[in-house]
Amino acid sequence: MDYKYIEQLLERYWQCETSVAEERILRNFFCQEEVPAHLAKYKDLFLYEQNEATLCLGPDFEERVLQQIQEPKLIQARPLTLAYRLRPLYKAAAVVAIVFTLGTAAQRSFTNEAPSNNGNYDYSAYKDTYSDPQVAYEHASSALQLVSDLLRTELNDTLSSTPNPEKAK
Amino acid sequence: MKRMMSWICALVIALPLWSQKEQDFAARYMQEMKALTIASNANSDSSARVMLNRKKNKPNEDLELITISPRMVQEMTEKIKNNKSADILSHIKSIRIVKANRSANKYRTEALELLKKNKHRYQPYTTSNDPTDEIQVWMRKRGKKIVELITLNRDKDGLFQVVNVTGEMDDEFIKTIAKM
Repeated sequence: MDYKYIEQLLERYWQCETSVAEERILRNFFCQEEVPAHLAKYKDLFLYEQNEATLCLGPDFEERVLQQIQEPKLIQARPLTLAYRLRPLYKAAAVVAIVFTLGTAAQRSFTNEAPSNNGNYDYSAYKDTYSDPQVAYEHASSALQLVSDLLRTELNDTLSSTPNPEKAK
Repeated sequence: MKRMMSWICALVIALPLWSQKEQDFAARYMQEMKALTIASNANSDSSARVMLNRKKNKPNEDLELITISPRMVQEMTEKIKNNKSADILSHIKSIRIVKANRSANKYRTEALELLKKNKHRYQPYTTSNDPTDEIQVWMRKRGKKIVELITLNRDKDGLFQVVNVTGEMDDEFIKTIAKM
């Protein structure tokens, strides 16, 4: 059998030059059960087009859509507790606390001073016994002299209690 | 949520405590001695309870506290012309002297008890193996710096004296003081 006409039609079909009548001829041809082997690969394409063309909405389609549209949607009201309402406030407070803590820690670590070095003593509670710096100096000197004596004693004790490696030999 | 609340509460409580100022040894010692005096008065005489409120604000008669504040140290530094003394004072913030004219042994024991009770804060300035009761110089360190130096001295006349120096001191400064 000569399928030259079909091949020509196919060629024109790929070039989009076929008319509606010619495309119908092609579809009818490929609807046959027996199709030559070299044209069989095009059969699925034309059968697909034909099958898809027959698809239509079911008789109950409209009813199903309407049912879904009209179905009332239940919205459950969730009770809002005070804790839930204040949640943003807690978050803000936590952020402020974290920023403050980190900022203070950074400030302390970046400054040369040792942590709370001297600054932590409550000097504001100090009430001077003497108003005259000269008198205060005299007392301070005698106190420091006492400290000096005791330090000297401690240092001597430490040195005398340390074993001498030369003597040990 | 509860955990978060707990954290916030803990932070809020911790911050003021953290920023609270500390007492030096002399202040703490005077406070302890005052409390001790009130307690012993109340125990020894029941009628003392009536007088308790009056005695509360009365300082311990045996103890005398001499304070030289940072401001006074600054004034002293500005007035003195001795370079060596000025150099020493530049390391010092304050000096406090507690004097006890009687019961020296009792006050010395109490001072040592307080130092030992706060052993995480104060450590003896010695490396010898002397018993702790004999240690006369204590210090408080922050890193490598000595921020507080405490000496306990009991002389032959029965006078007990605590010298409490605060400032920014180091081993070099200690050696300088020892050579005075």
